[in-house]
Amino acid sequence: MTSTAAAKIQVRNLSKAYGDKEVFRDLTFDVAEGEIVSIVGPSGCGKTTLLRSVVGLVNPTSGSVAINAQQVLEPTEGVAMVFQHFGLFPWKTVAANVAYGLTVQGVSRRASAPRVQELIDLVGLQGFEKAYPHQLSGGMQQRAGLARALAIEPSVLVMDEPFASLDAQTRDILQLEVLRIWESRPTAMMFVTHSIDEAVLMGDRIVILSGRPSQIFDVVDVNIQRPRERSTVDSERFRVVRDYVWNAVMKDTNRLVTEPDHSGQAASSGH
Amino acid sequence: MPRQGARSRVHLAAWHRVRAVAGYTVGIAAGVIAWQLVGEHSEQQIFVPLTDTLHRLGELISDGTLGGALANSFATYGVGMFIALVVGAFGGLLLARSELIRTAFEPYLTGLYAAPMVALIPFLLAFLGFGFWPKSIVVALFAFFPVLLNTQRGAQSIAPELLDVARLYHTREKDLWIHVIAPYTLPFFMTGVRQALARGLVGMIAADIFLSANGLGGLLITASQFFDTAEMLATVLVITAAGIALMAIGNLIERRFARWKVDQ
Amino acid sequence: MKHPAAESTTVRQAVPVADGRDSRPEPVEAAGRAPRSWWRHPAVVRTVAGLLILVVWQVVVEATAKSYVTRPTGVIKVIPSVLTEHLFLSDIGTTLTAVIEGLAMATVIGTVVGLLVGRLPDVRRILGMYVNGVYAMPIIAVVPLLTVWFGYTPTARLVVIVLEASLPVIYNVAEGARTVPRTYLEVTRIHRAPWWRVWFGVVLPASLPYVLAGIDLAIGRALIGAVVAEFIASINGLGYYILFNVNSFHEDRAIVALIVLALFAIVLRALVNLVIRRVLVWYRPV
Repeated sequence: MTSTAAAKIQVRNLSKAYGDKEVFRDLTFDVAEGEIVSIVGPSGCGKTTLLRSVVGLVNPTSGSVAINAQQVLEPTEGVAMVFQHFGLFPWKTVAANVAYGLTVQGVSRRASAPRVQELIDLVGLQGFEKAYPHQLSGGMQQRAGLARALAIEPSVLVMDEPFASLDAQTRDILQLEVLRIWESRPTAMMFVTHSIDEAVLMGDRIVILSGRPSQIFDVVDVNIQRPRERSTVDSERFRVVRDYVWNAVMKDTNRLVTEPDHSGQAASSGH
Repeated sequence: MPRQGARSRVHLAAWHRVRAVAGYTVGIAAGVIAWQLVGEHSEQQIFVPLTDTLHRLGELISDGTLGGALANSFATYGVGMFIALVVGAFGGLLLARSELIRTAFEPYLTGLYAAPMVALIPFLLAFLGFGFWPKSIVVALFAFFPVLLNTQRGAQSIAPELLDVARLYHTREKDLWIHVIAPYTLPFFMTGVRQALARGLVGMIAADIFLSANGLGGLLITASQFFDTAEMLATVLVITAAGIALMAIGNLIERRFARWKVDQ
Repeated sequence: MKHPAAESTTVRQAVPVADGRDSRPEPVEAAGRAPRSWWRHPAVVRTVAGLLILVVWQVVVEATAKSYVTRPTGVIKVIPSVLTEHLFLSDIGTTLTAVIEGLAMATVIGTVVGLLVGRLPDVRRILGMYVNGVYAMPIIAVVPLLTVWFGYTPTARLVVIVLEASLPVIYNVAEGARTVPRTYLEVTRIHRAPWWRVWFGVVLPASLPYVLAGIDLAIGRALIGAVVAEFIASINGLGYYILFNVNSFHEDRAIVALIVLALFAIVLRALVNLVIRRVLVWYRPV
């Protein structure tokens, strides 16, 4: 599952500090082709900073990130991102927003139109091509954000708490929608969330951060079959994994300084 | 953290500081050099170098001209500001407290505020004349609106709950004013003061120029009549310095009282 | 660079509240009231107040001042002839054209400078002190100097207008450029957009509400600049019309010009605020 040669994202000994304040330290994990890895941890554990370090928006203090075996020093080709606050430009229509990645690459509007339309249909926004973001609900805007990310046919997709700004019902709907869309074209995905349920529902593996500064407490194999549905959250396996992660995140791990603690409970772990 | 990392972090911080200082230095230097060069390469009536300007400024200070002008100007300024603050504060409170008066006079106040104040000066001159008090009235007119509007906005925006609490305790009207309305409105009033300080300065110079010219504005006029560009520039420098100083004072005053301001 | 914003509070109020400084919360006393008596109706009250002002004005002037000082009866008498006077109409055209031209130039200059100062700390440090200095200085102080450089010509007036009007635009645009939402910029960086796409495609459109808020404040300053220039440099226009008529004991005619000036300010600002309201619909946060 994690032979390093196949890994799309390789994070090695990544550390980040702002001045004297260390955010996270010595993180090492992989994200393989066609795999969703969820990153979860308590508030302030730096998961957002981690995500930005992986895509090159933030430079780490030490360690390295490689995407497609190329070291990441700044945003690179083939990496797409979905943002917590959607990031749609209010002065552009939905179609123009979705096409943005292609427009930046110099693709003309006519050339990108078919792909843009295909994606708008895929995310369920047919009929809203000419609408402006302010006319859309939060959920619809995030769908557009997803379409924009997919438009550039990325090899790596990262999501920064994509449903955190949505109400609970929209969140539930979009979780399954995103999974459905992802299934049609499985891309290596790094998914940051503060919701443990979400992390288990979405991910193939879960990286659990804890401690101050954050370190990897454990990496858990979710081992639940795809496609996942609403009923998945009621399954035994789901509960087992979720409880494990919950305990890991909630417990006081100030003693954690060097090695992550393999408690070896019901979940197996992989590095 | 490896020591090397710590050292490079310190270097980064130091570089930012150097860059910041460099920015300000370049700014000042560019201005000084430009002033000097342009001055040296222009005719005397058009522009003079910074050195000549400063020299002239020195003369104005030592022979007392500047001192006299400042005294005259700021006398009218002080009186005018005082009037503006008092009338503006009471007017603002009145407008906030009485819906009837507010509705009645709002359109006329808006209309008056929309007119450029400078345009009123010839009328005032004709009506009131040249002297000290007309000039103070001009300053007051320029400075009064921000005080009025800000005080009104402040007094008007008192959350109804606060007033209800006071009434619940059977507070008398007078005490309502002293203990609730005045303290609540004070930070807003101070914002008005800040804006009024700057506008009052404009009024002061305008009054000097159009009414009796015995202040800073008067220096300006005399200098322009004698084509004494150095003196004009020196006076502009003094006026600008006064403007900057008033702006700084205004900011300080506003911030001092902003502590308990309730943001809308 | 601090951001004083003269006539109104900061752009943070101007941008979300499209009415700018004229927007006020509903008075507490009005909530849940019984229907008011007819004489408390706004139209009635305002008319009464207006009449009161006119009466006081008339009486005070009649009693204390010389015959040439303006009074309501005099103004009313003179309105028809002023409104048909050729000079008056052409002066309206001159001043208003100058103001609009000046505003247009100030918008461009102010936006460019504002964008640079807002997003580039180096530029802010170098230019900021001069922008603050020009802002703190009453424009009337440099008009004599400007007339030396540009003569007693409409050009001098235009320079004054542009100087005065650029400042609120600079401050507001700088604030807007500085506070472009981080997410938008991250989107451009993830897509590795070239610098010109970032500036023209994102920073500029994101700053549009601020440009408009700056123009709103610039209108008043532009008018002041026009009048000041016309006063000092005797340039033909509404301002000079006022000065000339006051000095030749025709104050009543001058009042008409003053009213036109005020009306112009009100109408222009209303137009800009209309545009602001429509544009803000796009930017209303989710």
